[in-house]
Amino acid sequence: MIKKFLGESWLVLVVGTGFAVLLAGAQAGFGPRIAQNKREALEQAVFEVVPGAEKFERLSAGARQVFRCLDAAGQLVGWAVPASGFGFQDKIELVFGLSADTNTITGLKILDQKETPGLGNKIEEAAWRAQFKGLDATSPGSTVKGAPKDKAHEVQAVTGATISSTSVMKIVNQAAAEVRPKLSEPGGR
Amino acid sequence: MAEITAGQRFKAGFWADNPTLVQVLGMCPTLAVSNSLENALVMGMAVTFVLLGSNLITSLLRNLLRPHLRILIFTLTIAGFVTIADLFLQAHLPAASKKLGPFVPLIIVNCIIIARCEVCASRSSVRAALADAVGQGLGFTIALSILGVVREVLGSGTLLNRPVFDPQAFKPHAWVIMILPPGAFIMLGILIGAANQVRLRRARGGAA
Repeated sequence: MIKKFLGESWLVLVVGTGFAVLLAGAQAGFGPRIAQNKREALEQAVFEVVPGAEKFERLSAGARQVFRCLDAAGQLVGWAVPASGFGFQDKIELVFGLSADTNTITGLKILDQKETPGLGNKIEEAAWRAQFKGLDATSPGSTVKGAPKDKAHEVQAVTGATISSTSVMKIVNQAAAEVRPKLSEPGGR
Repeated sequence: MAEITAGQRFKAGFWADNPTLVQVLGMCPTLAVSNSLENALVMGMAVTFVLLGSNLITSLLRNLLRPHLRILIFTLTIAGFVTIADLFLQAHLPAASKKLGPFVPLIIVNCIIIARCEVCASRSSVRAALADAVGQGLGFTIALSILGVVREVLGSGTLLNRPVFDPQAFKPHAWVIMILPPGAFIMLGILIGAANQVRLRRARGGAA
């Protein structure tokens, strides 16, 4: 039985093992560069989501890493919080900004997503992301169909991509709720 | 069946057996990422690389393949090379990789590649299989680039992200549909129609 199995399938096993080794090599070779690209993209996004930021310090708030953003004079202008969670298809990675008093969201940038092209990937578009700017961070926001009545708490979901939209909202809500108390304490700064 | 030479295999990809214009294979990337020349070139090069790799391996293994397991070997080989291409793009062309998004991993299910493994590489010498990969890959790249140039110039007013018209003057005349999915269908239809027209004329000329 085993002999028959091996006789039929040895080539698949050999080729599969060969490619596993090849891919491990490719991952080892390209991995550091990919990680560096991701770091650079994140740092660039930090300046986009916190208006007026000229430089930042990394620090940790609980289990999360946050960026403390300063203007040229060294004054605190806000915080940038990287966060991730599951979307419709795969992990969504994003970073959002909080005002210096942590009460308002100042911007949102999607770093990585694999949502449906043409529908869910619209969460990357500037016009949709702009709705997050000015949201009240002290209570969880929600997504609605149609134009939002309460622009401080509601964001209009992308048509045909309700799950992608609510996923982004959920990721932001969760991270904001987790990080805000830590940033408000003097010890957390 | 007479052995088709490497030279014939190479030439066929450009016109007589062009993957986009004649076989009409790999339509998913053709329609989706031909909205700019840059996207078209990167996609074309990635597909050419994967074609080369998978045709080489398939041709080397051609005498060992079992009929009922061959598709498994093809898919395994293609997936391996696509992953390498994807990692390479993420590492060295991160901007292009981000623009192409899921369409790079989707090369795995691009039927051009599995069709070349089945039709050519699994029954040809290594030399012919490699020539076939280059010919088919370049034929695909050229077809995609033609679409890319037309769609980018008409839709965005740029070529390789550089403006070809005065941006202010162009803006009200931008043919936005060209960079949207319908533009891909329209342009591809025109391109295949034009190629068929040329083919018909030549055939008629040859008969007369």
